[in-house]
Amino acid sequence: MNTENDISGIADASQPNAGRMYDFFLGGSHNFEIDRQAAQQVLQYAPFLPQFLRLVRWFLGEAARRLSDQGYDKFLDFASGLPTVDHIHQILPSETRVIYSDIDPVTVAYAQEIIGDNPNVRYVHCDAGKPEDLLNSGIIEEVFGKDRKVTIGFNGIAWFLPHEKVGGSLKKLYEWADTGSKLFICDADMSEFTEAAKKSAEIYAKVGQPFYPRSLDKMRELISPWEIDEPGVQPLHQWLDMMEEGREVALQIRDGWGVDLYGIILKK
Amino acid sequence: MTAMSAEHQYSDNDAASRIVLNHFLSHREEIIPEINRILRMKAFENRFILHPKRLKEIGTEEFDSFTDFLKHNDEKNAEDHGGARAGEGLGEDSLLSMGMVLRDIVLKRTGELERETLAFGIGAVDRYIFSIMRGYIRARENIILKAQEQLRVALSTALETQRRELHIKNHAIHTYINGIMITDIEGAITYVNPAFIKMWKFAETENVIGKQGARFLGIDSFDVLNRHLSMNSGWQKEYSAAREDGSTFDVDISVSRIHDNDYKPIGIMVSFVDITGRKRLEVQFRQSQKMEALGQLAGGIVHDFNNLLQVISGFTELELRKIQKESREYKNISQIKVAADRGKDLTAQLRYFTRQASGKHRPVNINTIISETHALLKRTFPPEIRITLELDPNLRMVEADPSQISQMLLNLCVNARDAVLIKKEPDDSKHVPGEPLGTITLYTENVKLDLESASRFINTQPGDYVCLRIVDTGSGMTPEVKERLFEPFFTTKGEKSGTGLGLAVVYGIVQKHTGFIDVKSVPGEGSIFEIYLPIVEIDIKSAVREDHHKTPQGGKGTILIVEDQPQVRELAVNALENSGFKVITAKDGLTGVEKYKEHYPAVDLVVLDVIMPRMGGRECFNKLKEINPEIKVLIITGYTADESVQELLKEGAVGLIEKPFDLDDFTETVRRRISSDRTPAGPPTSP
Repeated sequence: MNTENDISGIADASQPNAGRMYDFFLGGSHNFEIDRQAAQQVLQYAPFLPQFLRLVRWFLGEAARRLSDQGYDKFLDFASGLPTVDHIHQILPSETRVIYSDIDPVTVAYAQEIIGDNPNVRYVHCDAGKPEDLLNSGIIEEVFGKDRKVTIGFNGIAWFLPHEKVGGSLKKLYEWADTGSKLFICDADMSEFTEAAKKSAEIYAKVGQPFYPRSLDKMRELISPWEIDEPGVQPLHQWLDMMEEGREVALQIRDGWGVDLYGIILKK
Repeated sequence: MTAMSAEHQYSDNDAASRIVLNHFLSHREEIIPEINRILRMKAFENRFILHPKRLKEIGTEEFDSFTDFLKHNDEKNAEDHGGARAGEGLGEDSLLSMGMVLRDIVLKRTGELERETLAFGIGAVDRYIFSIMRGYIRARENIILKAQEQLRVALSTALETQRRELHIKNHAIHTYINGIMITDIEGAITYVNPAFIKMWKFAETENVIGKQGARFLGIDSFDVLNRHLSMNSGWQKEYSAAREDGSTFDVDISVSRIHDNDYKPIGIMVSFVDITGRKRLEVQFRQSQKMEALGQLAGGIVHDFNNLLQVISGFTELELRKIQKESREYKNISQIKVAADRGKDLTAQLRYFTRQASGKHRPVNINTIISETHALLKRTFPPEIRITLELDPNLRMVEADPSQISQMLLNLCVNARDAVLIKKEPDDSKHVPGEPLGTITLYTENVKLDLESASRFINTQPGDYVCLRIVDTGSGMTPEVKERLFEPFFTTKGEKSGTGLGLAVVYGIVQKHTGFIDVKSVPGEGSIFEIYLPIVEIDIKSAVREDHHKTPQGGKGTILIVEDQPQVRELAVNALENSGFKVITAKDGLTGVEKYKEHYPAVDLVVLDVIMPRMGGRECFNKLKEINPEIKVLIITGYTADESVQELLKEGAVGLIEKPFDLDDFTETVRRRISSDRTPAGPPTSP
């Protein structure tokens, strides 16, 4: 969750860091006081953010489980973030092959240490806006063999990338993947961005993580030529079967930021 | 509460325990949904790692865990259970709320029972919640500690990476070949690298830190610079910088601003590139281009001039043969011949400059040539000029034409002599009789030029060279004179004593020998000429000079002369016919081929010019060979160094005659070539 030019912002304890703020919102311990202070500022405008991020994270697990149940056993995940116990390889059958990636080199190094020498799992450095770096590397064949019918995770990263990068990345992934491949993506319809949302975005921009709000219609345009798979575009709480508490959180998010979180599974 | 006391209480309340347990078990289907409802409500309080769909399972598990506790009163097991929940991501709120649910159930459903049973039930719930919370908190502490440790390790790794990268960047700047200076926004120097210290000849960094940087940029103050940089991305300029010791050097500076995280300017960084060497090379390059252009110009003149001189000299010679030596006409025409011969000498010298002069290169020791020349100089130079030799006895060989090297030495020494004599004139009255007017010293040494040394001279490769150094204590030169030093006809000696060709000849000879010249001079103090010639490792057989037979002999045979210049053609015809040869002529290559076809096989030898209209010598030669592969062709040209001439010789031309030529030598060469076997000429020769 870092800009490309930084060596590793996540390791700079003198400045708030978006990755560590994210960890704080999710109730983690990989953060510092300076991150918590910045996070508190965001919470003034978005008290629902911890729930917002939990929904995003839960969708990752949900989509991975559903696709695993459909028989997919090769997962390529972008912007995987700090490694946690709910990572794909831990919630899916042990024979599942997973390649995680993140733009932050420390996160990558950290994750590699935690994953250890699991032969079915790799964690590599890659910018989600430039997936070709990973697709053209030897690591793919090393883990997946020649098979390109895979599942791709593009979860909770699209709003941090400009339209052309999202469109470009999804197109490159489409061209690279075999027919039958799936891609799950979670984004937010931000067509009615509120002042509070803009204030939050400003704080994020200051810590090097600018938002690129887009409407659902724009996203429908960017995902082409991927096709939307069953059950279609759904609010995240619906994916998670959290119709009561989830709906309430979704309403808070809508009221606060003018944003609707949704998840989609795409197919080639 | 300890395990012992709990056990004691349990045994005392065995009946109450059974009653509470049975009560819970019998209401299982009502209690589990109640727990699930609470867990769902608290779903967002859990850590994100706990997926909401897992909550349904947790409700059942929690019910079973509590009833198990009622059965076995195992607090340790409850603690472990709490720890597991922490690891799974269940929130503290969820656990406590679940405890409240259990308590409510005991209160509501066992309230009608005896007080003792109620008290036992409440106590059991509290002990259970206490145990799982204890395990939960302990596990959470461990998780936090582990996370912090992971973060510490990650930070340490990242900081080490950053430290390493910072070190590399610092090292790169510190060891950068160009000077680097960093100042604060006021212009006070905060850092300079060693290259800066060396470039500006400071003893140490401390002598610079804190000083104002403006003076190193050739500006008076930073204000103007800061204004410029606020509107532009950088600033660059070249200027002649003055060091504190008074010496100067040319420097190219590039200035850019340094900003903090908020993009506020906090200083500048300046890169200094010493361009003194580059400037010198630029001068050398311009000089080289100029000399090349002059060479081409002179080359063209030499060619045309040679033909004219050949005609004048040749015809006067023919006329002189017919006239009585004592007659007035003979004397008058002799003057024409003398003047023409002087002109030939000039063009011969120009040929050196234009590198057209042929030479016989062979491995030679320059010391030998210097010693021979030294003997000549001692005889001819004024005795007041001291000439000394400092020769390296282990001097390596160079591949050179000894006569050209001798010519070069002579010209340089004459130049040095004149410089000494010029200097003497103003101070003649001060000269102490018996003391030398000045000295000329010739040094030789082996020199190895590394990449840096070689890069000081244009078109020069690193390697081993022999250096000949001629040092005089003469008048020296101004930079203006030095710049034009090697131009032909440039002289500072006046018309009487100089042709302006001496150093031009030196230049041409050195170039011809793939060497280079370095000149240093200080007006009033003297000059140093350094000639560098590449050493040769292999022993090359020296070209064998052909014997010259000066006595003209009678000729026999038919000669086809292919020459476009009518006068040269006529001269050759006269000379050959006078010697008894039968001569056929052609005015260009095309006619030459036709004439040869017409008269073959009667033609014994073809005298062939190289540069001609319609069909040049090269093409003509090939056509003639097609007619007669054994044909004997003698090349006649003023461009012996020309590539096509060399190729003609390689391809079977039997010899080469350089224009202007001596008529007797010409006829003799023709005669010998006709009578000899048809063999290729080998190295180019003069007649």
